[in-house]
Amino acid sequence: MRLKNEPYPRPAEVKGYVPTKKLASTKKLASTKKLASTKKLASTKKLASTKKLASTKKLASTDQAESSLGPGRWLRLIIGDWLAALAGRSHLLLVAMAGLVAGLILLVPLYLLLRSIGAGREAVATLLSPRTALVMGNTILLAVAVTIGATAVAVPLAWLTAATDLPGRRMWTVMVAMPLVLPSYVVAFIFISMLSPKGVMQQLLEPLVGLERLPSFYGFPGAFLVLTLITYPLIFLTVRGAIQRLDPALEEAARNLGLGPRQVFWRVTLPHLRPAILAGALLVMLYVLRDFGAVTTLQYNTFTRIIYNRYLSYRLDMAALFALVLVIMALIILYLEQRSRGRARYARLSSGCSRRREAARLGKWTAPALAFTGAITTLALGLPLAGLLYWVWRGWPGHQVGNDLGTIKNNLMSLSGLLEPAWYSITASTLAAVATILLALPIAILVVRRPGRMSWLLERLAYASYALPGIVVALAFVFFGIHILPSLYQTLPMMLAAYVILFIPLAIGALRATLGQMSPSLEEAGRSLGQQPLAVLRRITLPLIWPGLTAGALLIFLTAMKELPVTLILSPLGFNTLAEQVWTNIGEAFFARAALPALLLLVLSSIPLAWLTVRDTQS
Amino acid sequence: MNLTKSALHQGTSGVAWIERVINRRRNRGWLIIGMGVLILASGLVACQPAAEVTEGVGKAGEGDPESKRLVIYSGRSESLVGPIIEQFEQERGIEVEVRFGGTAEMAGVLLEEGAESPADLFYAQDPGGLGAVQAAGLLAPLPAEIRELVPDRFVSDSGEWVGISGRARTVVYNTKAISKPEEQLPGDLSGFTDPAWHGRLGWAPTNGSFLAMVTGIRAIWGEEKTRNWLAEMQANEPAVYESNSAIVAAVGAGEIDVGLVNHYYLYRFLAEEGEGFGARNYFLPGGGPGSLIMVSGVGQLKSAENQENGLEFIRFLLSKDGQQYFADETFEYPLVAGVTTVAGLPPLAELDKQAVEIELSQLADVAGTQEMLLSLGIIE
Amino acid sequence: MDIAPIHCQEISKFYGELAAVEGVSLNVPAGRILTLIGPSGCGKTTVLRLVAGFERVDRGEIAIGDMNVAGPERHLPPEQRRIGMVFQDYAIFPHLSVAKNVGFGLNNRSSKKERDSRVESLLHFVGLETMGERMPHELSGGQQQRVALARALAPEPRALLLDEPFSNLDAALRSEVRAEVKELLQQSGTTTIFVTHDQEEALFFGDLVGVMRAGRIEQVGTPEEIYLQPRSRFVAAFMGQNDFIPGEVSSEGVETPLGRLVLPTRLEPGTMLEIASRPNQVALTLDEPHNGRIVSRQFLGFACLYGVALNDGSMVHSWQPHQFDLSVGMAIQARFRPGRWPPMFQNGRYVEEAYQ
Repeated sequence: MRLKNEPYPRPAEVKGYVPTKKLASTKKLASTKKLASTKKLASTKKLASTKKLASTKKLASTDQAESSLGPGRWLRLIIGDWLAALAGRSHLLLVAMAGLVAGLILLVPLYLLLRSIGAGREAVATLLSPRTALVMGNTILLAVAVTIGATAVAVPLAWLTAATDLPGRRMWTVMVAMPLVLPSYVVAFIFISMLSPKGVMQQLLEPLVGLERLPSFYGFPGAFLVLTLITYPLIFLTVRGAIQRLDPALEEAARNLGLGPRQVFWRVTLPHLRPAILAGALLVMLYVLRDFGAVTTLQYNTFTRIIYNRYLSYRLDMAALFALVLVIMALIILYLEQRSRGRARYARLSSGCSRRREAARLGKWTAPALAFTGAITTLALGLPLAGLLYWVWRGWPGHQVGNDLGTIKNNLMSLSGLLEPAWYSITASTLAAVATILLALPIAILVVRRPGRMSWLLERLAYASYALPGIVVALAFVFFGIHILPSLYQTLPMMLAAYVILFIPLAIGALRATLGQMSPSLEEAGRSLGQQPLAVLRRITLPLIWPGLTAGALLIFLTAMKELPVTLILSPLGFNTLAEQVWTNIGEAFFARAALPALLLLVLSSIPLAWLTVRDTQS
Repeated sequence: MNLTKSALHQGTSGVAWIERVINRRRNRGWLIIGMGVLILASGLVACQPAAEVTEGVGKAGEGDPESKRLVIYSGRSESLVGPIIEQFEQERGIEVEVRFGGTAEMAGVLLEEGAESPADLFYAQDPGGLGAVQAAGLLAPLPAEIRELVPDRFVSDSGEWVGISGRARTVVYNTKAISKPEEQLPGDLSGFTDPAWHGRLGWAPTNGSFLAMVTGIRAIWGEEKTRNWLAEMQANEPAVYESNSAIVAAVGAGEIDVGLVNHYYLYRFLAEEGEGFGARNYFLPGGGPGSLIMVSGVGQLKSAENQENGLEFIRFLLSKDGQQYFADETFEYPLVAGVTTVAGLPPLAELDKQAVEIELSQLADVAGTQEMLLSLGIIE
Repeated sequence: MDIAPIHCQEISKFYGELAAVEGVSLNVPAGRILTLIGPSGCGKTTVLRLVAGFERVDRGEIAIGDMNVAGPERHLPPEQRRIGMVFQDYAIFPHLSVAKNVGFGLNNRSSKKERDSRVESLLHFVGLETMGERMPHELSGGQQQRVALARALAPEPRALLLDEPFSNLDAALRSEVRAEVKELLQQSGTTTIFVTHDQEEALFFGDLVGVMRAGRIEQVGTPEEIYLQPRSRFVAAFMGQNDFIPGEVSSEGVETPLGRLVLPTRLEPGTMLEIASRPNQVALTLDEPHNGRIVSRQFLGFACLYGVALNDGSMVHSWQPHQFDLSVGMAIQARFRPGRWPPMFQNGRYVEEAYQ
């Protein structure tokens, strides 16, 4: 059978359409002849000329310009031009700000490197000795144990308060997060007075059970308990935020596939919460590395003890070297965290318009849940609170007891005397929160939107500085402050800069979580609609990350309220915070005098915490 | 106009060029680091040793009746010296700005600040800090008239710092466990090495006063005897506390039976908890190093701006009024003769007969003490 | 409205060593719709993002109308290109109402009244007049998509880019929405580049279709051209259902298992070719000699699709109306139906010399 020879039918003519033959081979299309001849495209001549202009390396190098414009006008031209260019090219601004923060962050390691030069063989010998290894081992042991403990406490609490119908969960949220506010050594002190072998607990139990002596609370048990109770709020807050951002559709899909509620939690919810848990666990681990007050009060030697002993003997160089070791330890921990975090991206695929999640019903588990929450709250908040109130009661006027040496001024501080430190505390902490969030924003944006080796390195260094005791950061700023910017030395801006270094990991963590949840296409959509990057930031990004941003700011506020070494060393003269009042009085065993500032610290910190919790649960 | 336009073009393309450089992925990171390095480079430049400050010639404001200002870095806590400073402010009309902190921290800050320090005076809780600052050459010699206000041994041999008030080392004991202190407690520090004291003792080896005490012991007993004493004490496994007040609290509760502390902490506990508090002080009668007097001291910085005001303050502290304050309010020992200590405290002369010969400067060699403690494994 | 054509000249984009896009040249006349289609990872979305300005070109130039927006010396940021974009996930701002979303890009309008009227007219245009005050999470997928479209069109862009906008809709909705959107686009007359992986969509939507593979353009043409005159085996295989059967050039034409194609050819006798056969080109009869056997039968509603295993081992498909009640297992004669020449390929390349 023969087939007819029919030629190809010609395609219908389309207006403006270039015929098939010419399009068929892309090579032909690429011929510059065709395109260059269209008036619409810039002629190659024009392209060449812009090339020429762009390649001038120095602006002032053209003789033409120099001969006709005076230097003043030239300068004004360049500056005006730069400002206009900057306004239109705000990613330059982003890079510049990130550079500024990078410089700040690098200050501390640089100081350590410079200072440790003179440390010499002696320091290395100490470093490599078995006793140091033992101390390092103890440090890591405590860090790991506390992290596990804090996670075990915080995750159920976060779940109960954010995803179930636990009665009074708003109140519980505030109370569960409150221990963050208390300085670690205060809690340690109170716990010792309660739980030490002959402490309050023993005195209560003796008539009942005849217990003569409680097992020693000092050392690992005490350090573990106290540090867990102080640090679990860090994980609690991050996980709670993540739970609120969970897409209920995921769990519903799992239920649909036949998984029971418990299985859903273990196999669907928990893996999704993993990044938040890891972020909080990282903070906890680094906190344990840097803590000094609590562990020493509890008689457990960690690496900070080694650093501090060098400060006590005024060997700043050896102290710097050991601090560097701490930084390396922190970097190792960060590396491990990165490995376990993997490469998962957490941006939502849909445009973030998911439904509200329904609170899980506890039913018969309500009582045990309440018991658990109540127990943790009692231990972490109730006990310290009770201790403080007890001190207040002891120092109450009229209750003072004289002794044969006359009275000592261990009565309560007057509230009016506390107004000034309270004001300073609030001011400094608020400014610290604002400044840190602002400066962390460029880094967080770079890390999330344009991940690369450098932004990764920046983030690592920022976190590594979090592992250092405050005194190290303070001394680094003293060194650089007095030599580079003496006019700013011991002023509020420099102290704030040091605060930023101290707290930036908290901000980066919070911002990274919220930014990561926001799909980048939202920002791209804004740009496609003609908004410049700054406008996109203002109109789209900021409103959407606002909840996470304020949560991060709150965390920084709470941590800054109790900050001590940097405040002591870098604050302007006469600057007096509540944390300082607490510390100075406890140090001298004026417990009653320490009680009121500590209580005021607690109260003032709980106000923004409560407000944010209410706002969170309402929205 | 044309020129401006082309100049603008140049500028824009200059920016565009930078932009291009930035926007190449591999460049961006280096740019950020470059900026950071720029800041650090200025730090390296700043590492140049600070210029020497000529002695005796003060900066602007010295002797100037208009400048009524004084800046003190204090290692003594505000609750102790705050009132006396306020009193000074009110009486002399000089505005005193104080930075409070731990002695070691304040000394560390002074060492970092060097000659640029804004501080006029350094008021330290124990000689170690002053010694370190002095060794760095930051202190100025005090005029003779001030040095002569206190006995010679309370002045450093370089004349750069002077003691203000003293605290006695003492043994605090639990009244329930030790009902008859004179019989049950040894008369000398070396008595505590007896195995009978195993597990009943508490000390704070990282505390400044303890370090000063051991330094004094080294000066009195010599290196070898001190070392042996420390080793034997360590063999008794004393409980290690962070601070003196923790020891007193522990003794009062009955956790340990005795502790080596400074004498005045007890009174704060007595004030809060009343006479029922189960601890009391016991001053070792031997007059040996166990009852050393720790002095707090003041030094003036070479770079001080308000030198006259600083000297005024030291004079005030060493005046009858100042010394009486320490005697009455903080229960310390005045160092100036003729001031009565509060009742109940054994007089100075009785206490450290043997220690009379120790120079204050000898108490400042904390580094050596630390080395000894390190080698014995008492501290890390 | 200022509608502009889009010219891409030899644009390339590299990620390290990998070329996501290489030497792509496109020419979209003003007011026309170009559909870019290809398998995953072929670079079509990258081309879109290069035109939009979210990525920089490593080589080549892009011009929109008379504006040279991208080139080695020049990169106009997205916000200055006046191009509208509809994203795959719509990217509706969750914190703004529908009206505010649509009016988002209208900031440089002079008066609020003008902005409001423009928003209203656009909402009317997409059929969402009553939804102005709703929040995005209250809308269905199709409604969200229409909001995205309205938002992109509001600032009167010179060109429009659509990134797989229908992939998130369920199938029933998809065809309906598709038709509506095409109507809207043609009414607005905006130059459009439309990226999809669904070939049915591509053929339906575009005035021009561009097939991409591994970062390069395989072929650009009208839907008919792409479908009926594929220039490479890849395009033939990708668009529409195609079977490939071997053919051998002889002195009289091309010998295939479906019969001899008598056509003048410049190829050497003995050359092996691959011939693309479409279901509508294969005729089935029960006459002898049989050259194949029916192995599958699929009822499609309007016709039946039969799978025929030919005796030489190759497989073809054929659409037949219901009158032919054939069943699986029947021996059959399959022939090329008279009509167009089927496309022929040698080593994947379209062989023009097969036809004189």
